[in-house]
Amino acid sequence: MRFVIWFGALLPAWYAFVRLSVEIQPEWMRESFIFLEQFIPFTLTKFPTDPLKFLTDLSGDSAFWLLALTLTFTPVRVFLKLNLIRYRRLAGLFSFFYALIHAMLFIGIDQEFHVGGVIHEVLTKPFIAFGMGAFVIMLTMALTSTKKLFGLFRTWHRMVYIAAVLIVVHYLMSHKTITWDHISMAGVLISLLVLRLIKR
Amino acid sequence: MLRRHNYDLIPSSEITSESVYHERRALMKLGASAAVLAMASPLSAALAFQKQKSSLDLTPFDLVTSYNNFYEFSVDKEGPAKLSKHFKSRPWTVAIGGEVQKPQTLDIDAIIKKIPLEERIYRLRCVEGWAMVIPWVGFPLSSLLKAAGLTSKSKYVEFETLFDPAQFPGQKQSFGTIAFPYHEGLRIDEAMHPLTILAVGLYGKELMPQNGAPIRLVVPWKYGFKSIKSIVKITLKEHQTRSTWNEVAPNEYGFYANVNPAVDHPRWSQARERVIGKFFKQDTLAFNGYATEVAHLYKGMNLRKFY
Repeated sequence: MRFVIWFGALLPAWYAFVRLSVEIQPEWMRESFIFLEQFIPFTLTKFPTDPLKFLTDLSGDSAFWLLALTLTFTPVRVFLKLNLIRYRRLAGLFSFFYALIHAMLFIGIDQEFHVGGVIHEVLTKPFIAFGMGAFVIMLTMALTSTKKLFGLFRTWHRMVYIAAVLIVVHYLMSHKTITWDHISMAGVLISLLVLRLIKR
Repeated sequence: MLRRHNYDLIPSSEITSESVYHERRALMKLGASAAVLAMASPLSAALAFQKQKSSLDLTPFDLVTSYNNFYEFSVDKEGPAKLSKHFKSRPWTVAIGGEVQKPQTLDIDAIIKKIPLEERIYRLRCVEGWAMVIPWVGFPLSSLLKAAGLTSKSKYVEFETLFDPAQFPGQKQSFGTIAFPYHEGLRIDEAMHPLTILAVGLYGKELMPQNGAPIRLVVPWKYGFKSIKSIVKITLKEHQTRSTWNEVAPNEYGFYANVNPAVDHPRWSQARERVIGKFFKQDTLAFNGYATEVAHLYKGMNLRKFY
C-alpha cells in the first residue's frame, strides 16, 4: 500500500519531468513515450506551450486529488471496514507537497518573491485569498503532523474540512466558465466531506 | 492575390511580382518555425502581401497554431487545432449591413483579390495573462467600411462569428460555455483606426481554422477576446453593440477591454504577462504597447470605469 501511494503520488512529478525535459531527452526515451501515447489521454512528447500554467495546473490538480485520497481513508474504514488510516499522513503530506509547489509558483515565479505583491493579491482577489487560506491551513497541518505533535493538535486537524471547502471554491473560481468536469471534480471532494459528516 | 495549389500550372513569378516572391522566400528561411509551417499546413495557401519589418520576437508558428482560445471548437487550448481539421472555410461570405449606404455581401476570395494585403506584426495579449507576437496578413478594417459607405448613424460596429454546430462542435454544448454565435463590437473610431485590421493569414499563409479562418478581426491594443474569429456578419449600429464575454461576466470583461496593466481582472493581476515560448513573465504595456497610436481615442474617459 505504501508503495502504491508513493508511486501514484510521484506520477505527476514524473510527468512534469518528462514534459519539461522533452527537448533534451535522448531519442530512445522520447520514442518509448510516443508508443505510450496511444493508451493514455495525455501528451508526453511535447514541451508545454505555457510551462508556468502547465506546472501551476498540474501541481494544483495533484494536490486536489491527493487531498481527496487523504479524505477517503476514514469513509473506507467506516463503510468498507478496511483500516488504512496509517497511510493517511503519507497521502496528506504528498498533497501538501504539491500544494507547496503550487503556492511557490505563485509566490516565487508569478510574484517573484515580492511580499507586498503577494499580500496585495491576497487582499484584493478573493480567488487567491481562498487558495492561500487553504494553503496556510495545510501548512500548519503538515508542520503538526509528526507523531508527537499530532497528539497535541488533533482537533486542529479538523480544519481540513475548511481547507477542502476553500479549495473547491478556489478551483471553481479559477476557470472562465464552469463545465461539468469542474463540477464533478468539486463534487468528489464535497461528497467525501459529506460521507465523513454522516458518520459523525 | 491568392493562389491555391497551382504551383505546377503557373510559375509563381508570373503571378507575384519578383520582389514580393523573393521576400516570401526570405520569410521561409527565417527559421525552424517556418519549416514546421511548410510541413504542418500543406493545404493552406500562400498569400502575396507587403512585408513589415519589426524588432519583436515572433512566437513560433507551431505555438500560434496549437494554443488557441476558440470556444466554438473546444474550451481547452489544444482542442481547436485538433477538432478543426475538417473545417470548411470556403465558400464563405461576409455580410455588411445596418447603418451603411451600400449593404453588401462579399465573397472572401473577392475581398482578398480586391484589397492589397499587408503584413502586420502585432503583440497579442490574452485577458488570461499570456501573450504572443504574431505576423498577421490582412488589411485595415477601415477600407471595407469606407467601401460600404458610413452614415451619421454609423457609430458602432458589431461582428458575428459563423453559427454552424455541424462544423463547430463546441456550439453543440449549452452548459459550461458561452452563448453562440459569438459577438464582438468596436466604437467607430476604434474600427476606423489604421491599426485595426481584418486578418486573412498569418506567417504568410492563409489562416488555419483554429486561428479564425478565413477572416478575423485583430485589434492589437485590446485583450484577445475582442478580436473575433471566423466572421460572417459586420453590422454598423447607432448604439453600443453586443460583446459576448461582456455579457457572460460584465464585472470581469468590459466592452472596451483595452490592455491595461493598471486595472486588474477581478481574479488576477494584469500587470505582467507570460509570453508563450518563455518561462518567466514580463511587464504588460499600456494599450499593449500601442499607447502612442491609440491613447488619444480614450482621452477624458475613466479607464477604471470603462475597462
